[in-house]
Amino acid sequence: MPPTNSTDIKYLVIIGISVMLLLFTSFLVALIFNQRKKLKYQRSMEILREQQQNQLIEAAVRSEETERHRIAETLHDEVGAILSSAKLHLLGIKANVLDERDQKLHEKGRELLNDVIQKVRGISHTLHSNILKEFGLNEAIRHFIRKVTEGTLLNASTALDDNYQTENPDNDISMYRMVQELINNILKYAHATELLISSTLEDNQLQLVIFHNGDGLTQEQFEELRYQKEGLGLKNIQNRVILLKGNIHFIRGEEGYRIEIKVPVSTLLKEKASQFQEN
Amino acid sequence: MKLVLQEILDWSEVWAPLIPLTILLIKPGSVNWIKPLRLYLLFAFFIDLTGNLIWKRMDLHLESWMQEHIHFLYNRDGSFSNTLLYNIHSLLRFLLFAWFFHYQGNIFRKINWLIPTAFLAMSGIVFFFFKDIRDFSSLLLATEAAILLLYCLLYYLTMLRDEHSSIKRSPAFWAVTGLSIYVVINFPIFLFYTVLAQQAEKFAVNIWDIHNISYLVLCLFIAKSFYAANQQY
Repeated sequence: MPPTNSTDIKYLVIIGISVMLLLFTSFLVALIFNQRKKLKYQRSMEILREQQQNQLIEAAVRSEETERHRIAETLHDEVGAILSSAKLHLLGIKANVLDERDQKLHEKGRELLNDVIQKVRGISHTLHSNILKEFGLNEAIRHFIRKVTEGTLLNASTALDDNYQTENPDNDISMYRMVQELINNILKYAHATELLISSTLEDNQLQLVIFHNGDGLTQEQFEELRYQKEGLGLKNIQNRVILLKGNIHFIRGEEGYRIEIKVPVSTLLKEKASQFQEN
Repeated sequence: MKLVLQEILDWSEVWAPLIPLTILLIKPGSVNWIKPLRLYLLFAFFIDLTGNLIWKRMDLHLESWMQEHIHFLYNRDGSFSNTLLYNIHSLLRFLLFAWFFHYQGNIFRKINWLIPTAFLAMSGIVFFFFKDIRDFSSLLLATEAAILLLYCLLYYLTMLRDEHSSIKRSPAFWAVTGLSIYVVINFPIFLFYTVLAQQAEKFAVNIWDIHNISYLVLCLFIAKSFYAANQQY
Protein backbone atom coordinates (compact mmCIF):
# COMPACT_ATOMS: atom_id res chain seq x y z
CA MET A 1 0.00 0.00 0.00
CA PRO A 2 1.53 3.37 -0.98
CA PRO A 3 2.15 5.65 2.02
CA THR A 4 -0.46 8.31 2.47
CA ASN A 5 0.36 11.93 3.16
CA SER A 6 -0.42 11.57 6.89
CA THR A 7 1.85 8.49 7.12
CA ASP A 8 4.66 10.54 5.59
CA ILE A 9 4.20 13.22 8.21
CA LYS A 10 4.14 10.64 11.01
CA TYR A 11 7.43 9.19 9.75
CA LEU A 12 8.82 12.66 9.32
CA VAL A 13 8.03 13.53 12.93
CA ILE A 14 9.43 10.25 14.29
CA ILE A 15 12.58 10.46 12.17
CA GLY A 16 12.93 14.14 13.05
CA ILE A 17 12.78 13.41 16.77
CA SER A 18 15.20 10.47 16.44
CA VAL A 19 17.75 12.37 14.36
CA MET A 20 17.67 15.42 16.60
CA LEU A 21 17.98 13.29 19.72
CA LEU A 22 20.87 11.36 18.18
CA LEU A 23 22.67 14.55 17.20
CA PHE A 24 22.11 16.09 20.60
CA THR A 25 23.24 12.93 22.44
CA SER A 26 26.44 12.82 20.35
CA PHE A 27 27.06 16.48 21.12
CA LEU A 28 26.44 15.93 24.82
CA VAL A 29 28.76 12.87 24.91
CA ALA A 30 31.48 14.92 23.17
CA LEU A 31 30.97 17.71 25.70
CA ILE A 32 31.20 15.30 28.65
CA PHE A 33 34.39 13.75 27.23
CA ASN A 34 35.84 17.21 26.78
CA GLN A 35 34.92 18.10 30.36
CA ARG A 36 36.56 14.93 31.67
CA LYS A 37 39.72 15.66 29.70
CA LYS A 38 39.73 19.20 31.03
CA LEU A 39 39.16 17.97 34.56
CA LYS A 40 42.03 15.49 34.24
CA TYR A 41 44.30 18.23 32.96
CA GLN A 42 43.22 20.58 35.76
CA ARG A 43 43.87 17.89 38.35
CA SER A 44 47.34 17.16 36.99
CA MET A 45 48.09 20.90 37.00
CA GLU A 46 46.81 21.13 40.56
CA ILE A 47 49.06 18.24 41.64
CA LEU A 48 52.01 19.88 39.88
CA ARG A 49 51.29 23.20 41.58
CA GLU A 50 50.97 21.46 44.93
CA GLN A 51 54.26 19.67 44.37
CA GLN A 52 55.99 22.92 43.46
CA GLN A 53 54.49 24.63 46.50
CA ASN A 54 55.64 21.78 48.73
CA GLN A 55 59.13 21.94 47.25
CA LEU A 56 59.28 25.67 47.90
CA ILE A 57 58.04 25.21 51.47
CA GLU A 58 60.52 22.39 52.03
CA ALA A 59 63.37 24.51 50.68
CA ALA A 60 62.34 27.44 52.89
CA VAL A 61 62.00 25.27 55.99
CA ARG A 62 65.26 23.44 55.37
CA SER A 63 67.18 26.64 54.71
CA GLU A 64 65.68 28.12 57.89
CA GLU A 65 66.86 25.06 59.81
CA THR A 66 70.33 25.27 58.25
CA GLU A 67 70.54 28.93 59.16
CA ARG A 68 69.38 28.22 62.74
CA HIS A 69 72.00 25.47 62.95
CA ARG A 70 74.70 27.79 61.66
CA ILE A 71 73.77 30.59 64.09
CA ALA A 72 73.52 28.10 66.97
CA GLU A 73 76.95 26.69 66.14
CA THR A 74 78.49 30.15 65.84
CA LEU A 75 76.95 31.24 69.12
CA HIS A 76 78.02 28.09 70.91
CA ASP A 77 81.47 27.57 69.41
CA GLU A 78 82.63 31.10 68.75
CA VAL A 79 80.71 33.57 70.90
CA GLY A 80 80.47 31.04 73.74
CA ALA A 81 84.20 30.32 73.55
CA ILE A 82 85.09 34.03 73.57
CA LEU A 83 82.78 34.65 76.51
CA SER A 84 84.26 31.69 78.42
CA SER A 85 87.72 33.02 77.70
CA ALA A 86 86.65 36.49 78.89
CA LYS A 87 85.32 34.88 82.07
CA LEU A 88 88.64 33.09 82.61
CA HIS A 89 90.51 36.36 82.17
CA LEU A 90 88.15 38.09 84.55
CA LEU A 91 88.62 35.33 87.11
CA GLY A 92 92.38 35.79 86.67
CA ILE A 93 92.19 39.22 88.23
CA LYS A 94 93.12 39.08 91.90
CA ALA A 95 90.04 40.51 93.55
CA ASN A 96 91.69 40.79 97.02
CA VAL A 97 94.10 43.48 95.77
CA LEU A 98 91.26 45.65 94.51
CA ASP A 99 89.66 48.31 96.58
CA GLU A 100 86.06 47.88 97.72
CA ARG A 101 84.57 49.80 94.78
CA ASP A 102 86.56 47.82 92.18
CA GLN A 103 85.76 44.55 93.97
CA LYS A 104 82.04 45.32 93.60
CA LEU A 105 82.53 46.16 89.92
CA HIS A 106 84.52 42.92 89.44
CA GLU A 107 81.76 40.90 91.11
CA LYS A 108 79.06 42.60 89.00
CA GLY A 109 81.09 41.99 85.82
CA ARG A 110 81.42 38.30 86.68
CA GLU A 111 77.69 37.98 87.33
CA LEU A 112 76.81 39.68 84.06
CA LEU A 113 79.28 37.52 82.16
CA ASN A 114 77.77 34.38 83.68
CA ASP A 115 74.31 35.61 82.67
CA VAL A 116 75.45 36.26 79.10
CA ILE A 117 77.07 32.83 78.86
CA GLN A 118 73.85 31.20 80.10
CA LYS A 119 71.75 33.26 77.73
CA VAL A 120 73.94 32.48 74.72
CA ARG A 121 73.87 28.79 75.59
CA GLY A 122 70.06 28.97 75.97
CA ILE A 123 69.62 30.70 72.61
CA SER A 124 71.98 28.23 70.98
CA HIS A 125 70.02 25.28 72.38
CA THR A 126 66.70 26.79 71.35
CA LEU A 127 67.95 27.34 67.84
CA HIS A 128 69.32 23.84 67.55
CA SER A 129 68.26 21.21 70.02
CA ASN A 130 70.86 18.55 70.62
CA ILE A 131 68.36 16.73 72.82
CA LEU A 132 66.07 16.38 69.80
CA LYS A 133 68.92 14.91 67.82
CA GLU A 134 70.13 12.55 70.49
CA PHE A 135 67.02 11.62 72.53
CA GLY A 136 64.16 12.20 70.09
CA LEU A 137 61.04 14.33 69.87
CA ASN A 138 59.36 13.36 73.13
CA GLU A 139 62.39 14.12 75.28
CA ALA A 140 63.02 17.39 73.43
CA ILE A 141 59.43 18.49 74.05
CA ARG A 142 59.62 17.53 77.75
CA HIS A 143 62.91 19.40 78.11
CA PHE A 144 61.58 22.45 76.30
CA ILE A 145 58.42 22.56 78.44
CA ARG A 146 60.45 22.25 81.65
CA LYS A 147 62.76 25.01 80.54
CA VAL A 148 60.16 27.55 79.43
CA THR A 149 57.73 27.04 82.29
CA GLU A 150 60.34 26.99 85.04
CA GLY A 151 59.66 29.77 87.51
CA THR A 152 56.31 30.68 85.94
CA LEU A 153 52.78 30.29 87.33
CA LEU A 154 51.94 27.93 84.48
CA ASN A 155 51.31 24.37 85.59
CA ALA A 156 52.63 22.37 82.63
CA SER A 157 52.57 18.62 82.15
CA THR A 158 53.21 16.17 79.34
CA ALA A 159 51.70 12.81 78.42
CA LEU A 160 53.61 11.74 75.36
CA ASP A 161 53.30 8.35 73.68
CA ASP A 162 56.69 6.65 73.99
CA ASN A 163 55.77 4.17 71.27
CA TYR A 164 56.70 6.88 68.84
CA GLN A 165 60.26 6.58 67.69
CA THR A 166 62.00 8.98 65.40
CA GLU A 167 62.22 7.69 61.87
CA ASN A 168 62.73 10.91 59.99
CA PRO A 169 64.73 13.47 62.02
CA ASP A 170 63.82 16.28 59.64
CA ASN A 171 60.12 15.71 60.31
CA ASP A 172 60.78 15.65 64.03
CA ILE A 173 62.48 19.02 63.78
CA SER A 174 59.40 20.41 62.08
CA MET A 175 57.09 18.98 64.74
CA TYR A 176 59.34 20.30 67.47
CA ARG A 177 59.39 23.77 65.91
CA MET A 178 55.60 23.78 65.71
CA VAL A 179 55.33 22.87 69.39
CA GLN A 180 57.93 25.54 70.23
CA GLU A 181 56.04 28.22 68.31
CA LEU A 182 52.65 27.25 69.74
CA ILE A 183 53.92 27.07 73.32
CA ASN A 184 55.67 30.42 72.95
CA ASN A 185 52.41 31.92 71.69
CA ILE A 186 50.51 30.43 74.63
CA LEU A 187 53.07 31.86 77.06
CA LYS A 188 52.92 35.25 75.39
CA TYR A 189 49.22 35.72 74.74
CA ALA A 190 47.02 33.11 76.41
CA HIS A 191 47.54 33.88 80.13
CA ALA A 192 46.92 30.21 80.84
CA THR A 193 47.46 28.49 84.19
CA GLU A 194 47.21 24.91 82.94
CA LEU A 195 49.03 23.38 80.00
CA LEU A 196 49.04 19.77 78.87
CA ILE A 197 50.88 18.35 75.91
CA SER A 198 49.94 14.85 74.92
CA SER A 199 50.59 12.60 71.97
CA THR A 200 49.21 9.33 70.65
CA LEU A 201 50.49 7.09 67.91
CA GLU A 202 47.65 5.32 66.13
CA ASP A 203 47.23 3.90 62.63
CA ASN A 204 50.51 5.34 61.36
CA GLN A 205 49.47 8.75 62.57
CA LEU A 206 50.97 10.79 65.35
CA GLN A 207 48.52 13.08 67.05
CA LEU A 208 49.93 15.88 69.16
CA VAL A 209 47.46 17.73 71.36
CA ILE A 210 48.23 20.95 73.18
CA PHE A 211 45.58 21.87 75.71
CA HIS A 212 45.50 25.04 77.79
CA ASN A 213 42.92 26.96 79.80
CA GLY A 214 43.83 30.46 78.64
CA ASP A 215 42.64 32.64 75.75
CA GLY A 216 43.39 30.63 72.64
CA LEU A 217 42.74 30.76 68.96
CA THR A 218 39.83 29.32 67.05
CA GLN A 219 40.28 27.79 63.62
CA GLU A 220 38.77 30.89 61.98
CA GLN A 221 41.17 33.19 63.83
CA PHE A 222 44.10 30.99 62.86
CA GLU A 223 43.07 31.05 59.17
CA GLU A 224 42.71 34.83 59.37
CA LEU A 225 45.93 35.53 61.28
CA ARG A 226 48.22 33.38 59.20
CA TYR A 227 47.65 35.65 56.19
CA GLN A 228 48.66 38.75 58.14
CA LYS A 229 52.18 40.11 58.44
CA GLU A 230 52.10 39.66 62.20
CA GLY A 231 51.16 36.01 61.80
CA LEU A 232 54.56 34.88 60.53
CA GLY A 233 54.88 32.22 63.22
CA LEU A 234 51.45 30.84 62.37
CA LYS A 235 52.33 30.86 58.69
CA ASN A 236 55.47 28.87 59.49
CA ILE A 237 53.35 26.39 61.42
CA GLN A 238 51.01 26.01 58.46
CA ASN A 239 53.97 25.55 56.10
CA ARG A 240 55.40 22.83 58.28
CA VAL A 241 51.98 21.13 58.45
CA ILE A 242 51.83 21.17 54.64
CA LEU A 243 55.38 19.87 54.48
CA LEU A 244 54.52 16.97 56.80
CA LYS A 245 51.27 16.32 54.88
CA GLY A 246 49.38 16.63 58.13
CA ASN A 247 46.68 18.89 59.45
CA ILE A 248 46.17 21.27 62.33
CA HIS A 249 42.94 22.18 64.11
CA PHE A 250 42.24 24.82 66.71
CA ILE A 251 39.28 23.82 68.86
CA ARG A 252 37.53 25.84 71.55
CA GLY A 253 36.05 23.64 74.27
CA GLU A 254 34.24 24.26 77.52
CA GLU A 255 37.33 23.82 79.67
CA GLY A 256 39.84 25.45 77.37
CA TYR A 257 41.47 25.40 73.97
CA ARG A 258 42.88 22.39 72.12
CA ILE A 259 45.34 22.45 69.29
CA GLU A 260 45.42 19.15 67.45
CA ILE A 261 48.22 18.35 65.06
CA LYS A 262 47.95 15.13 63.09
CA VAL A 263 50.95 13.96 61.14
CA PRO A 264 51.32 10.72 59.19
CA VAL A 265 54.38 8.70 60.20
CA SER A 266 55.89 5.72 58.40
CA THR A 267 55.17 2.17 59.43
CA LEU A 268 58.74 1.28 60.32
CA LEU A 269 57.82 0.52 63.89
CA LYS A 270 55.06 -1.87 62.94
CA GLU A 271 57.17 -3.47 60.23
CA LYS A 272 59.87 -4.09 62.80
CA ALA A 273 57.32 -5.59 65.18
CA SER A 274 55.90 -7.88 62.50
CA GLN A 275 59.41 -8.96 61.47
CA PHE A 276 60.14 -9.74 65.09
CA GLN A 277 56.96 -11.84 65.33
CA GLU A 278 57.83 -13.71 62.13
CA ASN A 279 61.32 -14.53 63.40
CA MET B 1 -3.94 0.20 35.09
CA LYS B 2 -3.21 1.53 31.62
CA LEU B 3 -5.94 4.13 32.04
CA VAL B 4 -4.52 5.23 35.38
CA LEU B 5 -1.04 5.58 33.87
CA GLN B 6 -2.50 7.49 30.92
CA GLU B 7 -4.34 9.79 33.31
CA ILE B 8 -1.12 10.40 35.30
CA LEU B 9 0.69 11.17 32.05
CA ASP B 10 -2.10 13.48 30.90
CA TRP B 11 -1.76 15.49 34.09
CA SER B 12 2.06 15.39 34.09
CA GLU B 13 2.26 18.98 32.80
CA VAL B 14 0.51 20.02 36.01
CA TRP B 15 2.39 17.95 38.59
CA ALA B 16 5.86 17.95 36.98
CA PRO B 17 6.67 21.63 37.82
CA LEU B 18 5.82 20.86 41.44
CA ILE B 19 8.95 18.64 41.71
CA PRO B 20 11.52 21.47 41.33
CA LEU B 21 9.22 23.86 43.19
CA THR B 22 9.19 21.45 46.15
CA ILE B 23 12.99 21.41 46.14
CA LEU B 24 12.97 25.22 46.19
CA LEU B 25 10.44 25.17 49.01
CA ILE B 26 12.64 22.88 51.12
CA LYS B 27 15.90 24.68 50.33
CA PRO B 28 15.38 28.06 48.70
CA GLY B 29 18.35 28.93 46.53
CA SER B 30 19.99 32.32 46.52
CA VAL B 31 21.51 32.22 43.02
CA ASN B 32 20.13 34.89 40.70
CA TRP B 33 19.36 32.54 37.79
CA ILE B 34 16.93 30.57 39.96
CA LYS B 35 14.46 33.48 39.91
CA PRO B 36 13.40 33.22 36.21
CA LEU B 37 13.14 29.43 36.50
CA ARG B 38 11.02 29.68 39.64
CA LEU B 39 8.77 32.17 37.92
CA TYR B 40 8.53 29.96 34.84
CA LEU B 41 7.60 26.90 36.91
CA LEU B 42 4.88 28.84 38.72
CA PHE B 43 3.45 30.21 35.46
CA ALA B 44 3.73 26.80 33.85
CA PHE B 45 1.88 25.18 36.73
CA PHE B 46 -1.07 27.58 36.58
CA ILE B 47 -1.22 27.67 32.77
CA ASP B 48 -1.08 23.87 32.48
CA LEU B 49 -3.58 23.42 35.31
CA THR B 50 -6.01 25.71 33.47
CA GLY B 51 -5.21 23.97 30.18
CA ASN B 52 -5.92 20.55 31.60
CA LEU B 53 -9.11 21.70 33.32
CA ILE B 54 -10.33 22.99 29.96
CA TRP B 55 -9.25 19.80 28.21
CA LYS B 56 -10.91 17.56 30.78
CA ARG B 57 -13.90 19.89 31.35
CA MET B 58 -16.41 17.28 30.25
CA ASP B 59 -15.04 14.60 32.61
CA LEU B 60 -14.86 17.14 35.40
CA HIS B 61 -18.36 18.56 34.65
CA LEU B 62 -17.09 22.09 34.14
CA GLU B 63 -18.61 22.83 30.73
CA SER B 64 -21.78 24.57 31.92
CA TRP B 65 -19.87 26.68 34.45
CA MET B 66 -17.41 27.76 31.77
CA GLN B 67 -20.12 28.62 29.24
CA GLU B 68 -21.76 30.75 31.87
CA HIS B 69 -18.70 32.57 33.22
CA ILE B 70 -16.02 32.70 30.52
CA HIS B 71 -18.08 32.60 27.33
CA PHE B 72 -15.95 35.42 25.85
CA LEU B 73 -13.04 33.03 25.57
CA TYR B 74 -14.96 30.65 23.31
CA ASN B 75 -14.11 30.56 19.60
CA ARG B 76 -16.35 32.15 17.01
CA ASP B 77 -17.66 28.71 15.98
CA GLY B 78 -18.60 27.99 19.59
CA SER B 79 -15.77 25.58 20.23
CA PHE B 80 -13.44 26.02 23.15
CA SER B 81 -9.87 24.85 23.27
CA ASN B 82 -6.85 25.32 25.45
CA THR B 83 -4.49 26.06 22.54
CA LEU B 84 -4.41 29.76 23.43
CA LEU B 85 -2.71 28.74 26.67
CA TYR B 86 0.00 26.85 24.75
CA ASN B 87 0.81 30.02 22.81
CA ILE B 88 1.01 32.01 26.05
CA HIS B 89 3.08 29.26 27.65
CA SER B 90 5.49 29.31 24.71
CA LEU B 91 5.94 33.10 24.87
CA LEU B 92 6.49 33.04 28.63
CA ARG B 93 8.85 30.08 28.44
CA PHE B 94 10.94 31.85 25.84
CA LEU B 95 11.11 35.14 27.73
CA LEU B 96 11.86 33.57 31.10
CA PHE B 97 14.51 31.23 29.74
CA ALA B 98 16.08 34.18 27.88
CA TRP B 99 16.21 35.89 31.28
CA PHE B 100 17.74 32.72 32.75
CA PHE B 101 20.44 32.69 30.04
CA HIS B 102 21.11 36.36 30.75
CA TYR B 103 22.91 35.21 33.92
CA GLN B 104 24.98 32.58 32.10
CA GLY B 105 27.74 34.78 30.75
CA ASN B 106 28.55 37.92 28.83
CA ILE B 107 27.77 36.47 25.44
CA PHE B 108 24.09 36.07 26.39
CA ARG B 109 23.94 39.61 27.70
CA LYS B 110 25.13 40.87 24.33
CA ILE B 111 22.45 39.04 22.32
CA ASN B 112 19.68 39.14 24.87
CA TRP B 113 18.15 42.44 23.89
CA LEU B 114 18.04 41.52 20.19
CA ILE B 115 16.65 37.97 20.12
CA PRO B 116 13.71 38.37 22.52
CA THR B 117 12.73 41.63 20.81
CA ALA B 118 12.84 39.95 17.39
CA PHE B 119 10.87 36.97 18.70
CA LEU B 120 8.20 39.17 20.28
CA ALA B 121 7.97 41.25 17.11
CA MET B 122 7.60 38.10 15.01
CA SER B 123 4.91 36.73 17.34
CA GLY B 124 3.05 40.05 17.22
CA ILE B 125 3.10 40.11 13.40
CA VAL B 126 2.00 36.47 13.14
CA PHE B 127 -0.90 36.83 15.55
CA PHE B 128 -1.97 40.25 14.33
CA PHE B 129 -1.95 39.61 10.61
CA PHE B 130 -1.93 35.90 9.90
CA LYS B 131 -3.22 33.80 12.74
CA ASP B 132 -5.77 33.83 15.55
CA ILE B 133 -3.98 33.74 18.90
CA ARG B 134 -6.55 31.18 20.08
CA ASP B 135 -5.25 28.68 17.49
CA PHE B 136 -2.25 26.47 18.14
CA SER B 137 0.68 28.08 16.33
CA SER B 138 3.17 25.52 15.07
CA LEU B 139 5.30 28.33 13.70
CA LEU B 140 5.53 30.13 17.06
CA LEU B 141 6.31 27.01 19.09
CA ALA B 142 8.81 25.58 16.57
CA THR B 143 10.61 28.94 16.29
CA GLU B 144 10.71 29.21 20.06
CA ALA B 145 12.15 25.68 20.34
CA ALA B 146 14.75 26.40 17.64
CA ILE B 147 15.90 29.64 19.30
CA LEU B 148 16.05 28.03 22.75
CA LEU B 149 18.10 25.20 21.22
CA LEU B 150 20.50 27.80 19.83
CA TYR B 151 20.76 29.37 23.28
CA CYS B 152 21.56 25.92 24.75
CA LEU B 153 24.20 25.20 22.10
CA LEU B 154 25.74 28.61 22.75
CA TYR B 155 25.87 27.76 26.45
CA TYR B 156 27.65 24.47 25.68
CA LEU B 157 30.09 26.19 23.31
CA THR B 158 30.89 28.75 26.02
CA MET B 159 31.56 25.84 28.36
CA LEU B 160 33.82 24.17 25.80
CA ARG B 161 35.78 27.37 25.24
CA ASP B 162 36.19 28.13 28.93
CA GLU B 163 39.32 26.43 30.25
CA HIS B 164 38.09 26.48 33.82
CA SER B 165 34.49 25.44 33.32
CA SER B 166 33.26 22.27 34.91
CA ILE B 167 29.90 20.52 35.05
CA LYS B 168 30.32 20.08 38.79
CA ARG B 169 30.78 23.78 39.32
CA SER B 170 27.95 24.74 36.94
CA PRO B 171 24.58 23.79 38.45
CA ALA B 172 22.85 25.67 35.59
CA PHE B 173 24.23 23.00 33.23
CA TRP B 174 21.47 20.61 34.33
CA ALA B 175 18.68 23.07 33.60
CA VAL B 176 20.20 23.81 30.18
CA THR B 177 20.49 20.08 29.44
CA GLY B 178 16.87 19.52 30.49
CA LEU B 179 15.78 22.37 28.23
CA SER B 180 17.91 21.00 25.37
CA ILE B 181 16.29 17.57 25.64
CA TYR B 182 12.86 19.19 25.74
CA VAL B 183 13.38 21.40 22.68
CA VAL B 184 15.24 18.71 20.69
CA ILE B 185 12.33 16.29 21.11
CA ASN B 186 9.61 18.84 20.66
CA PHE B 187 10.93 20.84 17.73
CA PRO B 188 9.60 18.30 15.13
CA ILE B 189 6.42 17.81 17.17
CA PHE B 190 5.69 21.55 17.30
CA LEU B 191 6.66 22.03 13.66
CA PHE B 192 4.22 19.43 12.31
CA TYR B 193 1.57 19.52 15.03
CA THR B 194 -0.99 21.63 13.15
CA VAL B 195 -0.74 19.39 10.09
CA LEU B 196 -0.80 16.26 12.27
CA ALA B 197 -3.88 17.50 14.12
CA GLN B 198 -5.66 17.86 10.78
CA GLN B 199 -4.46 14.69 9.04
CA ALA B 200 -3.74 12.20 11.85
CA GLU B 201 -5.56 13.35 14.93
CA LYS B 202 -5.06 10.13 16.91
CA PHE B 203 -1.32 10.17 16.25
CA ALA B 204 -1.20 13.86 17.27
CA VAL B 205 -2.88 13.02 20.57
CA ASN B 206 -0.52 10.08 21.15
CA ILE B 207 2.61 12.02 20.30
CA TRP B 208 1.64 14.63 22.89
CA ASP B 209 2.49 11.93 25.47
CA ILE B 210 6.09 12.20 24.25
CA HIS B 211 5.86 15.94 24.78
CA ASN B 212 4.61 15.31 28.31
CA ILE B 213 7.46 12.87 29.06
CA SER B 214 10.04 15.35 27.75
CA TYR B 215 8.41 18.05 29.86
CA LEU B 216 8.76 15.80 32.90
CA VAL B 217 12.45 15.32 32.01
CA LEU B 218 12.84 19.11 31.79
CA CYS B 219 11.32 19.55 35.24
CA LEU B 220 13.50 16.79 36.72
CA PHE B 221 16.62 18.39 35.29
CA ILE B 222 15.58 21.79 36.65
CA ALA B 223 15.09 20.11 40.04
CA LYS B 224 18.59 18.63 39.78
CA SER B 225 19.89 22.09 38.91
CA PHE B 226 18.26 23.63 41.99
CA TYR B 227 19.63 20.84 44.16
CA ALA B 228 23.15 21.23 42.76
CA ALA B 229 22.99 25.02 43.22
CA ASN B 230 21.93 24.51 46.80
CA GLN B 231 24.82 22.13 47.44
CA GLN B 232 27.32 24.49 45.86
CA TYR B 233 26.35 27.90 47.28
